[in-house]
Amino acid sequence: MARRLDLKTAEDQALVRVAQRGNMPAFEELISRHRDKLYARAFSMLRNEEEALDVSQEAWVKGWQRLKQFQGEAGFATWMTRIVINLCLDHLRKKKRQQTESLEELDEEWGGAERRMPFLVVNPTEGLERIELRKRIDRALVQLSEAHRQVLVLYEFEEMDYKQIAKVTHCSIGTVMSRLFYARRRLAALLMSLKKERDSE
Amino acid sequence: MNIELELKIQAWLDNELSANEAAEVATLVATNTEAQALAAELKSLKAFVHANEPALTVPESREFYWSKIERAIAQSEKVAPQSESAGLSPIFAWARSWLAPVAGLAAMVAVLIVIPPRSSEPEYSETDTPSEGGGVIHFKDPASGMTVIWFYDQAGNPIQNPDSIDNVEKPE
Repeated sequence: MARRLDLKTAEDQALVRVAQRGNMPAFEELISRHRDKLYARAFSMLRNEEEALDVSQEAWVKGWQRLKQFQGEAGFATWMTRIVINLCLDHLRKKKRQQTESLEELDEEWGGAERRMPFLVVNPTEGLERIELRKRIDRALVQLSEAHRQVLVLYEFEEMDYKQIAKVTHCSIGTVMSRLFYARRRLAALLMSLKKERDSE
Repeated sequence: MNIELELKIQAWLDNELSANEAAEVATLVATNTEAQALAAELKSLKAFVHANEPALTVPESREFYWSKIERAIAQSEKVAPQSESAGLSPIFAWARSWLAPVAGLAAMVAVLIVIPPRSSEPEYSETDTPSEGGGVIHFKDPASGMTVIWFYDQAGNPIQNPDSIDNVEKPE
């Protein structure tokens, strides 16, 4: 008689194998393990709770539909985050078609105020607890333009290289490089101003 | 420092340069204070951003979140039944995508060969047999199994009772 899989303790790979045969409880267990990560990644990209929820759920549905194609070259969570990233990018592209890019964004892309900022000599995160640091990064990310945030999230959190980012965002490597540069410089400035605020409190 | 150099320093820190270019940038950073300052800023920023993605939790209970996914899966499976190519092996799906149009084309060719094209000439026959006192028009359509015979007089008017005239040739 086949040994019954303990869903709570089974490894992802074993759950994936069972789910690939149509076992929904195994898939639900995978969701419960990775749903926060997927939601966080969607939120980092979209900065909207409702949209992040919708897109992350859509990603799980797509994940189920394509589960048989998952060969296990990468981890299951990595595979799923790529699905959510693609859905976020599609979502942003659809939204963008309905809006025109602001002048501020264009100025940033082509070397606006950030280029002229002096380089930081003080570490703006010095002496911060991890929770506080994360909050501060989160607050700073909100203030980045969508294009800059997108590239920064893909590089730093999704660990894609320039070429991969260029491919998924449909832009040139040069654009990726400049967007990433201004995103980082702006983020450094934002973190510095948050540090000043905290120090003056 | 120009923007190209600034982007090169960034690419150097991101390990995106070739060995030669990386060596050039390393020399620049070691000798140029401005390049050094930029490299230091980017390096520290990279380090703390990379390790500190904002940690968030789904603002819904496990059951509620799952119930929505489960419903969406059930709906999508209703729309796309198992028999569709999404559920088939990639080779079979590929073969099917080629076989379907080829089979369709073959069927069309077979129909053209087996059923000869219809002639543009009408298939019915119509013969006019004139005689002194009038004539007879004989119309026959084998497709519908219809035969019609008209009798007409000398002036070409239809004759209701052909037995009333003697000089008109009657068909057998």
